[in-house]
Amino acid sequence: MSLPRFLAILFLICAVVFAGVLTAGYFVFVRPGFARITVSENFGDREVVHAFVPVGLVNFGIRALPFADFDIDACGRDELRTWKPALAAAVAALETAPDVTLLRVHSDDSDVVVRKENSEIRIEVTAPDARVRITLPPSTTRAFLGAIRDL
Amino acid sequence: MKGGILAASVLATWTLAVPVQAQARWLHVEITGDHGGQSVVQMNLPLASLTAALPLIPLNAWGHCRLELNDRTVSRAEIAFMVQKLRNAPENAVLSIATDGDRLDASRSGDMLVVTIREENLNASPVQVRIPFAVAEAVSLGSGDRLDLRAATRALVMRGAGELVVVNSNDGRVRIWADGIPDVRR
Repeated sequence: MSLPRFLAILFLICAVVFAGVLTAGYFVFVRPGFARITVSENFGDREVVHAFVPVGLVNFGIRALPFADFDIDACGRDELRTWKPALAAAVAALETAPDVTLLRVHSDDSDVVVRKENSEIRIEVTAPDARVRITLPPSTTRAFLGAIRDL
Repeated sequence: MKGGILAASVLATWTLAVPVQAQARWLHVEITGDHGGQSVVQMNLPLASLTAALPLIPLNAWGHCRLELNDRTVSRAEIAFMVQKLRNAPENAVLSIATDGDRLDASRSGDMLVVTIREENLNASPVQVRIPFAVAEAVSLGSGDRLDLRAATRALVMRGAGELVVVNSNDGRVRIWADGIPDVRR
């Protein structure tokens, strides 16, 4: 085989592999959407951090967590196993529920609000000197539930 | 307050069974506490989500549930006794059960059973719980010390919208109710 022909075949193989990696990366990391993380100072006057993290990456990280190695006693582990199907069903049903503020916690030094909005879960933590906003698509919650299945 | 929170956690479990009805599509939990400053926890949960989860909770998962108020466990037999004595009693009648160090007073307010627990020796603030009679009766149908939360579930199905549980103490309040409004602050 001549060198040009060998290089052409090598190039073709590399192109196919590269396209495959890009396609897989798109479907795994980009298509599920992005989690948005915003950290502001002085109630939004200045944004310190504003990040878009691919949800696929977040879900991958959650699944990679070594839950099986966590120091959970046998009783706690059994308890989690018992409740997991119910939790999963509750979360699945929550996805079709109307938009609502699911949880609001107010204390002297901070406020926490968890909202379901446009199929996303939005978490906002407000402290005297900063505000953190995290937006997660529902697949992240499902990924977390899936991650504890091996407990 | 600790007892109240424990009671709320048990009773909140009961409420998992409220059906999806036109009038009662949302379950609300509100916990207010006063520990040097005011703190509030509010939860708004779609009943569809809760009713989907309920059948998947195995019976043995309910086995650990008990009703504890002011560090005193209220037994299944005591609940059954209160229901039996007060269901048809006049509103001002009070049933008292005294044990070592505390006193339990129960009375009827409409279709709600009102239970107040006081620690006699320590002169601590009382804790009061209000739950529907039908739910109290159903939960007392278990055997031994086991509360029958499945039966309580059926009772709540019949109950629909309205107030489900109220726990009051000097340093906090827990309220659980169902209605058709998604967010209590809207």
